[in-house]
Amino acid sequence: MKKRSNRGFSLVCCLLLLLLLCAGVTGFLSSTGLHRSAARQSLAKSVARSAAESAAAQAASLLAEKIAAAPDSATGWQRIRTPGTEDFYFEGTVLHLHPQASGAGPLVLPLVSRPDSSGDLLEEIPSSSGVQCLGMEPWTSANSVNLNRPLFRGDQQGWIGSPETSVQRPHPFRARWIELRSPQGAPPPPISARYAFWMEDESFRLHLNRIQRMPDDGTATTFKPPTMERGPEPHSPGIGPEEIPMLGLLAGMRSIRPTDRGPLAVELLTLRNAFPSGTIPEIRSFNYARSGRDQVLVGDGLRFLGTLSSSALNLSRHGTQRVNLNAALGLEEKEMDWTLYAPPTAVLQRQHRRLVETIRFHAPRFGQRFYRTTSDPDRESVTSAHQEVYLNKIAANIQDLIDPDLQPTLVDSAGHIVPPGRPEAPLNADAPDGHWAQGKDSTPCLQEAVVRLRSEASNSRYKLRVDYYLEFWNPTDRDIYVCVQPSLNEPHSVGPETFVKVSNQPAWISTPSGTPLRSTRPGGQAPVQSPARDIVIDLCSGVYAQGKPVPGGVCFRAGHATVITTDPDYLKPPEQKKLSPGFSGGYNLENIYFCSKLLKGTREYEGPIGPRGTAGIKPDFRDNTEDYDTEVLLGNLRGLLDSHPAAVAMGGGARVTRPGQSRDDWYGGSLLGNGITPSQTGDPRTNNEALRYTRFLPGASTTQPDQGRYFNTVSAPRFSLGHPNDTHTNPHLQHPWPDPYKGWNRTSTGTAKNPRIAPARVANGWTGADGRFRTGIPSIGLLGDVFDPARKSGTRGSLGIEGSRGGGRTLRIGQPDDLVRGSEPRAASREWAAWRMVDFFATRSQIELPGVLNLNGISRDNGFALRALCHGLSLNLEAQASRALEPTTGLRPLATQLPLDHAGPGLHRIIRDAIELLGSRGPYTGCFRERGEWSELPAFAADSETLFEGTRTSIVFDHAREELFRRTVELLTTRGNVFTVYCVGQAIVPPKSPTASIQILAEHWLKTTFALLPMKADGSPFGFATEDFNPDSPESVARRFTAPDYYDIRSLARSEP
Amino acid sequence: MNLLPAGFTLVETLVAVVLTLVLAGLMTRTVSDASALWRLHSARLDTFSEARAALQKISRDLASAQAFPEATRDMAVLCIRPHPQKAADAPPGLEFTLLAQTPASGQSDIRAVGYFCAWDSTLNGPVLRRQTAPAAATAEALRNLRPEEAHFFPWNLLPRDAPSEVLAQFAWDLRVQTPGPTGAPEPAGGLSFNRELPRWIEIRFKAVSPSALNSVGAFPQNALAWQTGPLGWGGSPLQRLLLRHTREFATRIPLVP
Repeated sequence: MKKRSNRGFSLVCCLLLLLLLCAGVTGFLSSTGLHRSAARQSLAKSVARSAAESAAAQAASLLAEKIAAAPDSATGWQRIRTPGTEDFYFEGTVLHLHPQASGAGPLVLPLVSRPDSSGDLLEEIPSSSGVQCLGMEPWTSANSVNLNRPLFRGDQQGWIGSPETSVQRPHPFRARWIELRSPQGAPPPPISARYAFWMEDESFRLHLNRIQRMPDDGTATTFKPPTMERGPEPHSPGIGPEEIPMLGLLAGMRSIRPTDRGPLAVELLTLRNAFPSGTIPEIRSFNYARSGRDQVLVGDGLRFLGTLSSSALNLSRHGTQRVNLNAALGLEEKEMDWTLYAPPTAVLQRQHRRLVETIRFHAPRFGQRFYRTTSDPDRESVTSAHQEVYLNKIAANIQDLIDPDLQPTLVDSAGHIVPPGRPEAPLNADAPDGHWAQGKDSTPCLQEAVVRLRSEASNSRYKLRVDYYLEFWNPTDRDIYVCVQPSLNEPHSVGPETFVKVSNQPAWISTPSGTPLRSTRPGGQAPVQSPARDIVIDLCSGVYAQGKPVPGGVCFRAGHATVITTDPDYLKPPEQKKLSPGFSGGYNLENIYFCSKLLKGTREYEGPIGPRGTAGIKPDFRDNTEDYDTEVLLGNLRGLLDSHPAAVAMGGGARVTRPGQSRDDWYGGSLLGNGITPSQTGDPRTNNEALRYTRFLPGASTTQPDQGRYFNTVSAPRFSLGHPNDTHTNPHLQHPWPDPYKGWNRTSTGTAKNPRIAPARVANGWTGADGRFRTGIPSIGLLGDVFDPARKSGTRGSLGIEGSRGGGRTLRIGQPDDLVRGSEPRAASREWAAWRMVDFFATRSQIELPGVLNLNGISRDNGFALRALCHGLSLNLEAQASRALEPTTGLRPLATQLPLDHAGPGLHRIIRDAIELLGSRGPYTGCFRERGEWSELPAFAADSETLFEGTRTSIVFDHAREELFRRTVELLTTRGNVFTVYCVGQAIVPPKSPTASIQILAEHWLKTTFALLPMKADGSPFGFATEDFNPDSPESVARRFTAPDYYDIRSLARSEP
Repeated sequence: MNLLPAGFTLVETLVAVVLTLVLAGLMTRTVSDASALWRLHSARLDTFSEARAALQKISRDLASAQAFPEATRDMAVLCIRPHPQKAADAPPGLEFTLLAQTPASGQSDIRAVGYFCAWDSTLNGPVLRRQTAPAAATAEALRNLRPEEAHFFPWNLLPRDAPSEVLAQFAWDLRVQTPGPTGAPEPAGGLSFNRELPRWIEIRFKAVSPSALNSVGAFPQNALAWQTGPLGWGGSPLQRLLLRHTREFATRIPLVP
């Protein structure tokens, strides 16, 4: 039997053992591989996330650093292509840096990731062409990425959102990849990751939780229902973005039928109010509006246009916090009893100086507006003394515009506020105690004066009676009384014991040797100012109107001329005819008050007549040679209300020398709106101008300059006291002023006199719709109502000074300033533009202003946001004073309101103008640097008809023509402080060859919204809640006007789609 | 002459058999241990993957947490509370609910999201669960939110008996820390963040490999035993082996302050 071999058994055993070993090893290897794979995946994910986080952090820190270094930077919206690329370009937010110290040109910094050749981020891009802004080679699909990716299938908007006009859905917003190299590996280390970011200023968008938001302070009655457009004041005073109507938002959405907008606006507001605190948590919440009519998801349509987090900082271009005017003047917007407003002089002094120092810090050459002696607008020609005077005048005018009393602020020649007290003498340019400023308050202004001299001789004595007709104009929209009226709760009383004082009455000669009443000769000598020649007229008691006593005293009716007379015969027809014979019906008796009581002096004089008629009595007005500073003063126990120091009386006169002789002479004069010589323009240190007397002589020659100017119709006396057509200014004032300040009328024909071109003061507190009286100003645009004492060099006189009543108009805030040469970006004159003041003054102290709109984003959405902001605004062409004037002028009224329709041509032109301005190479170079530059829009120019179709802006009352600015300026900014950065990070394996493709291991998307908050070096928040700095301490001023030391980055929202 | 090859002697055969048995025994043990280890590692990997995925999901939700900084009245946007079922049938720990914004194709992106550890009777062990309210329901609840409910929102949106997904099996002891007044982490329990979120939030939970548990086969079958975790089980070496497969997972997520 053949024995079988067993050797195979061992082999099988060995194989089995090896198999088992292999299985074990395979298990280990598999486990290890899985571990490695999981670890790699996790690592790649972490790398991608880190890259995205790095992008967000880098974007935020870059922005914070740049803005801290350049506080006057602004953001704009720009599209930049590199050469040779059509489909790949940058479009988005750019930061315009304006280095102040170096004087270099503006730098443009696109807020997007962009490497230069060294791999570092570009720091500054000195280019306005845009091409260099993106750095290196053209953008391609390989080196850039579209960050506006759809969030879900069918998403037409994308992560960022898409403009309505875009043909690509979603609209591409691209950013450059920044490649990151691995920390390990042989040099050069391999690229292991990359990121990209794209950043946007949220203030380009409409804040959906702010628009048409009911106020929380119980004043909801001031807001109209959501279905209605905004109305005239006080419904929309221009306080904040809460006034933007929801209808304005919907009106710009083409996908919504016009008929659906009203109901939908109601639904949206109702929907929003249903959410906690009345705020929607996401833009898409608006999708729940029952918009089934159009099947439109409103929320999704607003992804590009709306935001839930936007704000701007209340900082000036210097980076300092704007000075809250209301706080600086102790008049935070609050309820108060205006009759108790009487701060101590020291307090007023400090408040006044705060304003002066604020202007001086931010615009050191602002005083170059005053008394200019050169026609070159960019040349400095004003002395430091005049500059100082100007700052004080402006500060006084601001104080008087805002404070609730009607008492003008008086600043002496040392810059000190004059303490309250009964004034003894008007301001006088020649007096040693001349004043720097008399503020323009809402007081009646003297604009025409007539003196009547009746003389008669009997036996050897003469009798002389002197009477006055003094016409005051109330340029405000409130009736002004001399006594407080219990039924009125707004400032309406000019104060206690109001009186009119006429000092230095015209002298007369009674004997060859003269009398103590005779004046000295003019020619620079000081006026006599003899108290014996002064009279003081009581306006409070002994007052009659149309023959009946007026117990309450004189009332200066709003917008009307009111005449104060001491002549008891003023009602007699002959006198009426003499006063205004050219007008049927004589003067307006309703507004003439006979004031019978003299507090001082007398109207009647008596004295001997010289022998043989060698002496008699006559007013000593020798033709054009005598200059008696007859001065008129309106005052009360607290001080001056109005003052005219140079009421010049000129002209000869006959005498009564024999018994039985009598004369009745009338001399009159009007506001000297424009001087022929500097000495006749009034005291440049005050807001006053000269008041020139001219004797009326029937048939007088027109060659006399005074008569030619004032009474050019010589066939009849043309006084016009109180005449209905003379409600605001002398209708005979026909001088064609070359003065760009225009005054109240610049027509050369003298035919088109329109009361609406006159200035007005309207602040001094106001009563809201709730009936409560408040102080402070709600909108900084109201600074446009401040009288501007600026005077411009001209061709006349030794100094070439031209001027008029306090400059004749208000500050040009809300319309182009003629002192500015607009075409030069860095023109010196732009430093003393009037609109600069709204950059460093504000009406509130909060450091963040939520919901305001960035004007520079107008090309981003083709004006959508601005249209919404302006939607429904009705421009009140007859604002304030002119409204009061209208019933008596009888002139054809302009349209009482001009609604700015969303799609209307007026608003369309404004937006077109703005886009063109921003695209030009003018002073803007892509962005407005400060909100005041909004004033320079061509639509606001005097020769424009954009705002008021068919009506030139030049004939529209200042307050009305600047109304759009005033009602929008608080809602506008030029740079926000809330930004959203869209980031993507990728962990990658770079291609092995040029033809190979990149391998993406992991990807992470991140969107963060953050705010830049100004901080102090010690880590505390930057900001000044009160304006209590000491203006006389340089250290205190310096502390107040510091810029933030740095900006803290506060994250507001974050999401990872 | 006998030309036939000589066979193995009995001794040789016996020695060979013994050696073979010894080797086979050794190999069997090795292979068995290797197999057990492989299973354990796989399970651990699964667990870690599961836990990591859970962490990522939590991170993503928290990173998209929605605050209401502009709200004028307090409304909870993040609630951290002790889990209500802990005493009865769940291990100790917290639960937290928040409002998160997660893009979706519906009409809204915001939804209430909650995380908690609960006892799973099917699994016979604790699990980490994620519960979400539909965006439409969240929006509806937000619109109709009554003031008295504001401090429990969005917790109220997530009833315990509503469906939820299991993120990680055998996960327990969910804990949350937020920065205290000094910025140092402090345990958060019974907190409700109104309008604004803490600067960051730290999430921790423990998890053990289910396979390892199955291998051990003797893990506690009731919630109370889990209250102290595997450390408290004491017991067998195998149970102590589980400790090697128990991990604490933690992450700190920066939030909108």
